Amino acid sequence: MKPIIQIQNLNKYYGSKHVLKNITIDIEPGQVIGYIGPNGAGKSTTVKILVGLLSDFTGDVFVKGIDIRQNPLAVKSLIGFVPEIAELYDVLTPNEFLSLMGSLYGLTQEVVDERAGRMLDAFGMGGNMDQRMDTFSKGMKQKILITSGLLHNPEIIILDEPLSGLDANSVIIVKELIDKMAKSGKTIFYCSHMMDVVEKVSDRIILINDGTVVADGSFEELRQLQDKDSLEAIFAGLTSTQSMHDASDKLMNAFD
Amino acid sequence: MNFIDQFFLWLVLLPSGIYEKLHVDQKQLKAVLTAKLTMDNRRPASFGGLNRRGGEKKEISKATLSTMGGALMMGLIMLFTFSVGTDMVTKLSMYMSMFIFMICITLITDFTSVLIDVRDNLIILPKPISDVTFVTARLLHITIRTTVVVLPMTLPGCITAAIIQGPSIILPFLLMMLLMTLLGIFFINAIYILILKVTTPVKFQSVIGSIQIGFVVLLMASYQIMPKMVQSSTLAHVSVSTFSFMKFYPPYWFADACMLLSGNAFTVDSMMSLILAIVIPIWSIWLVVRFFAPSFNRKLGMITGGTSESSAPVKTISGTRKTPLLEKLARLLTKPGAEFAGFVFAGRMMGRSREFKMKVFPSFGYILVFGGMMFFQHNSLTAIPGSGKVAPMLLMIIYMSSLMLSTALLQMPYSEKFKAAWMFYITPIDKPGKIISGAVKCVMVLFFVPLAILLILFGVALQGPSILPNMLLGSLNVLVIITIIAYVMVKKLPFSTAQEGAAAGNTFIRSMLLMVLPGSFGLVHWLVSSFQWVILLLLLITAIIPWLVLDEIKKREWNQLKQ
Repeated sequence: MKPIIQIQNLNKYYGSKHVLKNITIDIEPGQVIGYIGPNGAGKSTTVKILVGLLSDFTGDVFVKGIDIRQNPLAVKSLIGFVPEIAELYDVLTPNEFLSLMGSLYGLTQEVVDERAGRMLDAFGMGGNMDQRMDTFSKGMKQKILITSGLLHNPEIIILDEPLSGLDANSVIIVKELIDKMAKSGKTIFYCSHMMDVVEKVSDRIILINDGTVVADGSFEELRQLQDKDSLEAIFAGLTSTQSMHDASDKLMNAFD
Repeated sequence: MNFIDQFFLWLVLLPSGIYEKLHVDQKQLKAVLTAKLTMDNRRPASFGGLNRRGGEKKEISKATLSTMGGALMMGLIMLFTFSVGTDMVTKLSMYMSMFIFMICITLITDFTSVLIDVRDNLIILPKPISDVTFVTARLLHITIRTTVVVLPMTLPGCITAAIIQGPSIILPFLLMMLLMTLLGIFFINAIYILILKVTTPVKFQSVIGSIQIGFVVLLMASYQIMPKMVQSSTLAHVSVSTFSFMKFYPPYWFADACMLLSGNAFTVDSMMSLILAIVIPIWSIWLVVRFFAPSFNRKLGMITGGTSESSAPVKTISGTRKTPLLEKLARLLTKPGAEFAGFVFAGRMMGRSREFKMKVFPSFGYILVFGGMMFFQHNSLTAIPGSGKVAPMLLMIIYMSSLMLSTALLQMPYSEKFKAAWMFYITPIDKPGKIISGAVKCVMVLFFVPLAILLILFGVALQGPSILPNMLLGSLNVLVIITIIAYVMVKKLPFSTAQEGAAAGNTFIRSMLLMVLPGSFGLVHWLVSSFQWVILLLLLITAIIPWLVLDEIKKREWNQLKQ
């Protein structure tokens, strides 16, 4: 099967800092990729390149065979993105914000109304459609972001910490949604620090550290390779320069 | 923290004995005050900061000095009140009316964030700090901030009063200023409590925002009106003491009391004024501390809570959703997709962003006041009989409105929510110029079309239907000016850039363009205004130009946008 996302020799510098170092990844359609790594590893930079927010990189990125630099608009149409930080024009109502997003994706108002109404109803926010978002909690804003990312029914969904601020019921809904979307053939690129969730939802885990891919495989493959029981332990083993016990001891000793 | 804040901090912490008796934790008090004063110094002030452009981070860090400078200027402007009236009580009554008005505006525009700092609920209140320490810190903070404004604002008035009346007035004058400030604090607290009574805590901030905007517009208007009122009316020869209703007017009490304390003859009336001037402010501040502040803080605590998710059943939106007027207009004037989205987005943001309204709406005050003044000076709105020309003042009002529009246009790219602009960059927008074009059209439709219709009707009412081609040409010329300004200067997506990053460069070119364009168009228009066939020809040409320029804006590519 032809990869839906091809990242080849991807390099990115911020000034003199080499953030992504020769990243090469092929992603098959219908896969749920858990993209993990410590803070500053380069996860967000990879995501920003994939969604077209950054274009000054070297290497190649193809989405469904389309070069992201040659035809970024076609790529953007294929991707739905839920960013990590809930930055919204919160003086708008969900209805207005989603209509705006719909217009930018070329959807008709009728389609936006229908889909947004159903999706927000599923999140228990049907009654909040016409309230200004500046009164919303973080979780409520996150639900709006998830809805906006899925509104145009994209083939590829990039989720950056999508469960941030969500209540337990909504977490279950999103996790099941990821599973169902993958089964329907959509590709999910899932970035998170919540190892237990990544372990459960992903059928392939890519771990990057210091701009380099240090592990790539299913959870079972990584578990056997690293001889560890949990993704958390695998993560710590591959990315930490000191033991977690030493670090917590140091923190405790700070009070002495 | 700058030396002024350090001085005030040292000053308010001096009576440590009192704090000890009140069981105030002085270390906590100092820590809270230091943090708050440092934060104040890092936020833009309303005085002079209203139109502050970016690249001036250093100025923001000197917000206290900027506030003091602005207050001093305001104090100088208030001096015109000394030209009113035949006696010193009248002059001081006018001055003190203006002073209390300014203090209230300042408290609302500049200190609302101090009075309703809801971050306190999350940051300070969960810490082991007693109520008395917290309330003392908040009151001292407000006192310091108010003093920073009151002192420089009072200085010109105090010197002027001393020149007119002699140095004996200085101490009573300063005492009255202090008492009036206390009354102002009471007044604003009362307004806030009243608003909280009639609205929900969640809506409180937006209501305050609207009041702030209204006050700023009023302030701008008063700058224009007041001096002219003094010149044009009989105010210069009035004596307030002759009006018996003045006895119920607080600024009169302060003026009368000030004169009594500085050596005026004792009368029962002036004694009454003195008692009222001292008792009412002290009693009102007692009310604030005893009743208003606790209930205010309790209600304020609800602001951070946000709303709970509604469990109300979803409305069947599809099919029953009413199309708002803004969307109807957008459908009429834009192409579907990005341009439509730009129009609707800009319209909603301009109508709701407090930051945008605070920066743009005051300029509308100028136009309203200018138009109003023209209305009262009827002669300036009529043309020389038989000349066939349109009244120059009428043309001036039309062309002046382009300044108002350009303020809106140039402010449009800036927002404190600029990070939310990620949505433009992840969606498949081929030409960002379409968004800008939609937004520019929205500025024209929302801010100019209603004004143009009013002006045309007004012009026809004044000079008859023969003026119609001229009024139409003037209105179309404004659209030409605005589209040219948009083409040259608006190279950012709406509400996508931090205010601090606003371009400070090319100020000369910008200012020239903003002044010269309307001026030249207006002058040429006036010169040809009596030649009907020229006007009709120009009408045809100018009807096309805005669409051509907007079409060029639409073609703007991503790489042509300013980052």
